[in-house]
Amino acid sequence: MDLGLSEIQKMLQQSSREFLEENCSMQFIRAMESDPVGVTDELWKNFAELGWLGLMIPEQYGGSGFEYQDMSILLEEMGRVGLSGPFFSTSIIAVQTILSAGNETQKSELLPKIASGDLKFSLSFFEKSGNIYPSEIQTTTARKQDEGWIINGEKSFVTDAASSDYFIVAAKTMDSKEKGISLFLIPRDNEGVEITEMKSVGGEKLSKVNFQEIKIDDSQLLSDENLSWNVLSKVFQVGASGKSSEMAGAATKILEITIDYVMNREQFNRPIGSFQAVQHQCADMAIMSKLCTQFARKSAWYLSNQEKNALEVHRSKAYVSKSFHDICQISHQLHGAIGYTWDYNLQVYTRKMQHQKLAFGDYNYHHKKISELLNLI
Amino acid sequence: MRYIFTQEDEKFRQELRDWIRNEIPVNFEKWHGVNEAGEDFEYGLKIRRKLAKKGWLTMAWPKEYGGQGASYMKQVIFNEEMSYHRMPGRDGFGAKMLGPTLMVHGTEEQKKRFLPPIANGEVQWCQGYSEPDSGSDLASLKLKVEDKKDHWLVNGTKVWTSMAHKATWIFFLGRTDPVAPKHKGISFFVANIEDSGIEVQPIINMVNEHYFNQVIFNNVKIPKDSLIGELNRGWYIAATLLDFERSGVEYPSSAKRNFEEIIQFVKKNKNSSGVPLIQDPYINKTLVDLDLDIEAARLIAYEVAYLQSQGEIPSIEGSVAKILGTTLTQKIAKIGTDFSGLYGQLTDSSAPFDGKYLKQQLHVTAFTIFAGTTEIQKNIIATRGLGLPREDKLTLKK
Ligand SMILES: Cc1cc2nc3c(=O)[nH]c(=O)nc-3n(C[C@H](O)[C@H](O)[C@H](O)COP(=O)(O)OP(=O)(O)OC[C@H]3O[C@@H](n4cnc5c(N)ncnc54)[C@H](O)[C@@H]3O)c2cc1C
Repeated sequence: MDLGLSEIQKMLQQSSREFLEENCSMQFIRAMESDPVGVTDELWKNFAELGWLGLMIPEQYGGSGFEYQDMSILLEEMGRVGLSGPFFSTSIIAVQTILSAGNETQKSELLPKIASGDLKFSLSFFEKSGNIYPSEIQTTTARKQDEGWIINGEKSFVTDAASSDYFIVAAKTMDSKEKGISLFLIPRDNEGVEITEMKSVGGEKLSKVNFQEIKIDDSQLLSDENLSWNVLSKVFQVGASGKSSEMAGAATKILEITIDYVMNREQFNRPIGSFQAVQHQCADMAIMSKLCTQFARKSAWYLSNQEKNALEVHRSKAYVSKSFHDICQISHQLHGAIGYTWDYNLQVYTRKMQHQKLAFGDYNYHHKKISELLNLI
Repeated sequence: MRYIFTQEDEKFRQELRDWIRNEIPVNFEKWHGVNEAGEDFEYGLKIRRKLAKKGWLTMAWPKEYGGQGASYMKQVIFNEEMSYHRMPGRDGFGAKMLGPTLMVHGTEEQKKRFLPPIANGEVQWCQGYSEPDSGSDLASLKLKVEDKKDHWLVNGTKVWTSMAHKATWIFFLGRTDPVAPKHKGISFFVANIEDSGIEVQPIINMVNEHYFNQVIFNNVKIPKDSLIGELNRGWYIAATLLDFERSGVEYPSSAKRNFEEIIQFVKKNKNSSGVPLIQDPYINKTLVDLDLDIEAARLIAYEVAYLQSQGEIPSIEGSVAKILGTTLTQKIAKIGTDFSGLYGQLTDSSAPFDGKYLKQQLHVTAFTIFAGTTEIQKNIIATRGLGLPREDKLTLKK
């Protein structure tokens, strides 16, 4: 049992905190909310140079060769400054998908270009209902031709569609539920791809993507035909743990913002932080924030080190989704009216939280999964 | 990072578990623990002596005092398994509190005299801190101790003193300087209860059991060498002692055992329409919430032990662990009775679990009160941990 960070993780934590504080001010984060990509070319280049885009990519494919548990520390820092944008879609979700599903040719072609910042990816899984189950895929089908495939269907909640070079599309290839899913690589500028924006509250770039009679060749089949649910469920685990880490990082920051505020705001001739009713709510925030970090780190560690890791991920996303919402709410309460204004930065985190807590399974979903894994049903 | 125990630690866990299962006098499934403060006191002592022989009772102690210098994680495992298996025999007052205090503050003579009987599991100690007018504000305590040249003269009353009716010795705090600021006039003493003529009066708790007492010092004379550490430094000596008390892995661990028991119950039992209780969505959701609460309390307890293993003194983590652990025990006892339906009010054997959860629900009422109430723990987190101003130290602006 060692609940501390490794030397490498400590270095990553410190260097990323310095870099992000300098380059991703709240002013920048706010500007990126209305930016169509959500990140500048310059920042993306910096990420590539820092080795972050390929952090989880093995060195043989041009990456930095770290593990997911290390990435989780970087995600805490990104959550801390409130950074969303295509990093998560490309360097976590796509990298994880290509690593688990891609063949040797695909890996050696695509991964180095992710690490260098030349390619961005987006996973298209969800459809209309937005449920994280295999049955979600209703409209998207892949028809086998003599050579290659033809893809049709409509996807929803696709992250960072407009800035991606490729979609990784989950399509039905057979009728049976879990086995009949395959993953395909489709260039964004392919004929027959149509992107419609879905407006989201926290600057997250979400879209509907329509695929109409897309012809692709066999080399664009990413996964073993029909066995993609195994890959996807692993990817979703990483996504759920990753969002937990982002929220944990944001929770720590919100606690700091709040303590700073209640120490300085005075009413009745004293700092409001001297009132016990205020202090106990701060204590509650501190407890939850501490646990968000512990739950998230534990799930990240399990993902990198243990075969059986699902339960820890579900626990993490269930706990953090619920508690981080509570933390935001308490923080607003302690700020009074100022925290309710557009100009005050706290609300930026609160709006982003609406995405984070829902992404890769909400509280209820993970609750059900825990119940299944504990054999409670 | 590493969120599992080492193989060596797990080997110890297995050894301990095998030993415990062998000691339990009935089938483990039917074992609900014993009343160590009452009719089963002798049985508890018997187990304590066996633990001492195994070296486990004081495994946390340094080798020079006959301990094993066991790692904090090994101690966590010991507490986890003992709590999970509802085993009596641990010695909170002697081995966990007074022993380590003596090692730091006692004279050679005091160490030689008091440590071996604790290490051998031969003696029951009790803790005399609280007084009728001094609970959370412990530093306001009044019990008067006067220096009479060849002895100390003690007058006053301690209250809520757990196990005093079974103890031979008491360690306590008394006021030795009535004019100094309140924290600076307190000293730390030990006394033999019977030999000194200290009077112990029972207080029956709401479970209708005799667990704590009122302890009366009426012109009690104790020898000069009863003082531990420096005169008037007792508050600070006691503060080191409290740090041993607050890691709290026993709460999630015993909760885990109850959790498993409750799951078996709702799987086996059906409502009047023949539907197993576990299929009730409310019950199902409650159990998953409970799983998260147990996990949370466990994580924070491990963090406390981890910090200690790094030579750091956990402050906020200790308080968080106390709050989460004790709140958890209250939740689980309530759920145990709630799921029993109308039978949840019965104390006889027709109630599920022989009415154990009902009794437990009454019991755990005390958990968020003793060893620093939940409110006091939150004060500590806010002021010591987060640096917020203490209300009593505030100078108001005009
Ligand atoms: C089962 C049991 C066993 C015990 N065993 C022992 C023992 O062996 N030895 C011993 O010395 N003592 C023992 N105690 C006593 C225990 O330490 C005290 O009960 C505890 O410190 C609280 O003191 P009190 O009961 O006087 O409550 P009070 O201090 O009067 O508190 C009453 C309420 O007021 C709240 N409160 C008080 N001050 C504040 C504040 N500053 N801010 C916010 N809220 C506040 C408390 O949180 C609580 O809710 C035991 C108690 C119990 C229940």
